[in-house]
Amino acid sequence: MYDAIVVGSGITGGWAAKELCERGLHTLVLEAGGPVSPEDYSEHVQPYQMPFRGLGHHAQAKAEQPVQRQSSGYDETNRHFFVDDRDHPYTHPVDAPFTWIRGRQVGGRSITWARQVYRWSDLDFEANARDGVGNDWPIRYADLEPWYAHVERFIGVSGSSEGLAQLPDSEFLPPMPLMHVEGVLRDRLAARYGRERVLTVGRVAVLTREHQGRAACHYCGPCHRGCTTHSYFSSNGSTLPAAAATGRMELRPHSIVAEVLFDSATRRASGVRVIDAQTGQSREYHARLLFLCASAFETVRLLLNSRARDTPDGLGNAEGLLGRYVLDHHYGAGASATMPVRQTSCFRQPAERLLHRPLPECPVGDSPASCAATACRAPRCKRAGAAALGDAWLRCGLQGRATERRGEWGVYGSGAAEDLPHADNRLTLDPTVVDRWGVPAACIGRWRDNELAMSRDMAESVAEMFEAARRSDVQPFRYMPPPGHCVHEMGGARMGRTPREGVVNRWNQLWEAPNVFATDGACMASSACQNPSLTYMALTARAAAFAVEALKRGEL
Amino acid sequence: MNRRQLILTLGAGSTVVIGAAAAGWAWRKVVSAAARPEAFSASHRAMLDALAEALLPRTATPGARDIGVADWIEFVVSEAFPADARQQFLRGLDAMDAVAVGAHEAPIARLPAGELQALIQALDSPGPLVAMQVRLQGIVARRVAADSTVGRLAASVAEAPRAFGAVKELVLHGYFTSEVVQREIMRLQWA
Repeated sequence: MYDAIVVGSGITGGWAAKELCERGLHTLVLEAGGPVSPEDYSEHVQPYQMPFRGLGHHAQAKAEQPVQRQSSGYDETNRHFFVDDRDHPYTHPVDAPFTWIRGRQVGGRSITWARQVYRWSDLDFEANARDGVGNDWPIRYADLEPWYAHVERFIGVSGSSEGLAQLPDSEFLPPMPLMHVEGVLRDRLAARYGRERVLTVGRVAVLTREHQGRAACHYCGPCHRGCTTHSYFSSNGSTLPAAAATGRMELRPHSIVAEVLFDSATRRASGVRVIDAQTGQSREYHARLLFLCASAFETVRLLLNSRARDTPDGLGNAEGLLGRYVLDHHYGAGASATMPVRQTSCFRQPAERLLHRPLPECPVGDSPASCAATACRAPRCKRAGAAALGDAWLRCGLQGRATERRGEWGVYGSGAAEDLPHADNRLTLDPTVVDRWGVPAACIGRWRDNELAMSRDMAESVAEMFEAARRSDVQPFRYMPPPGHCVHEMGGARMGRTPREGVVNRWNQLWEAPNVFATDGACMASSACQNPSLTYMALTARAAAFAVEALKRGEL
Repeated sequence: MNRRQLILTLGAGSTVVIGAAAAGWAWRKVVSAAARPEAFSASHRAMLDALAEALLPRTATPGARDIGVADWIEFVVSEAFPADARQQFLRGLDAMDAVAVGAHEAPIARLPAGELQALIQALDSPGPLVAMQVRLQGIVARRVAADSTVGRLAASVAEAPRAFGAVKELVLHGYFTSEVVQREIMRLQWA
């Protein structure tokens, strides 16, 4: 019998483990995937050390990871951080594609995430109520603000204070400086738009100085392959070691939580049933407190699979809300342009340094879209960037002077925008398909696209900004990948003021089982446009503090 | 599965080694160890070699032939491409040679330098080729058999620019990600 069980060791699982252990709870962390060691990080592997120089083994990816390979974070040397799609099937309606990108290992997707972190403001928490969609959030920015600060002080967030109402400043480490060409863009936008549209450096969980015993980033580039210096935040480098240091954490990898066990007499969860991923054997673990941090759709799937006599449709589904109102961000609309700025220094930086610079972020006035721009040639290129570089070199090479980069800077801006909650955007269980361990698969269905209008607006807005900033060759684009592609899938166990409005309450506590907390993306009642992980971490830390106090008061 | 296991699962006989000294040549060993029945023909290899060197010739710096770019392209297409993509790539090479023969009466590997450059310019900027294609399609429509010489040439003309684009991408990638070029020519400072 443990004090607490945490399901999942990713972005939120690591935080639940740290907070619960530091507050005195003996905590079992159950991770479905395997352990990760420093040898698994491949960020320093050079293109010429890769058999296919970064192009990837297409035939193998097509056979084994046809969905995962679509992620922009997937490449030749980090594919082991993504699931084997053959073992982890899911379904969706034929006419409603969904791209579900997942990682199953200790640390989860905190290894491959994009590291962008932004606070919500009350513009976001009030949006549902103001716009008359979905349900009103039972919390506001004031509830979460101290927890944002708590998380930021630990993980380290670099960025630039701007005093923007729509993007509250975090507690920042020094910002990464903008490149010259980015500074020019910023100044021209400021001259044209004033404070209505502000370009600032991307706010990232990447260290610009030593912090909490972790080294500052040395800008080698491909963060999505892992980081042996833990210079960006991951569970592996930060929260899990902190939890382990208390001596109260037990971490069990290869432990697939198949269902939450519900005791109808006490109206509490008693524990979980786990399938050993390597042997297929089932066993149970019991605890007084359960934190579900399996990632949004896995947590919802777990609750749906937790069917007992009193919870025939899943735990938390008495009002039929479980699995409904799922969300993502849609993106893939913006513009590119050429930046006729004279390059002031010879290009001696690795190509990937450009590709993996934190993206300058440009909140667009009162539009809900946020816009990320980066001054880099071919930033969407999955390869080392050398091919893009190569085009400029080719011209030199044909003239026999392949010694110095000449070429123009390109600028690229794209938006990430909010999805609106709809009851019939929902996740259910597939009636027949199961994964390799026999656990019923998710069916993710019926995404709605009110968002077409927003994507047009994004493309037009970015193009307008580039025109205003005197770019040449401005090319708007809209390629609209399917839902899920942004890897910000969330919702399905939304927070609500009452049991009829939400699956969890203002403390992420399941209305139906008060000792169960869902603190990953499943709890989101709306999506805003900000990259959501910081909000998930803050909600987790806040819920853990509440849960421990409630446990001590004997309420759970 | 850790990174080393992953990279070592390339196949029987794989001897890919992670280490600066051996890395540059490791894929060459894999090429000889993992010969495929549908690997490139001698004429394919000669064509790729000629195209790569024409795109990135030796000047004061090594050219594509010095770097071994054509060998690497064969390795990638043989090992990493799914079967259908590989077949399409090879058909594309054949289409380019058909255009060369049609326009210059010799395959790419035997074209004099000036004519090879002219062909590359034509394939890289498909404007004139599109015009040629339209005229040829008109001829074909006037009941020239699709499997006739003209009909086949029309199909090759339609296919060749796309095929050239794929080859050019691979040539650039193979050249600029090679160890010699990255470390000694571009002198990239990797952390």
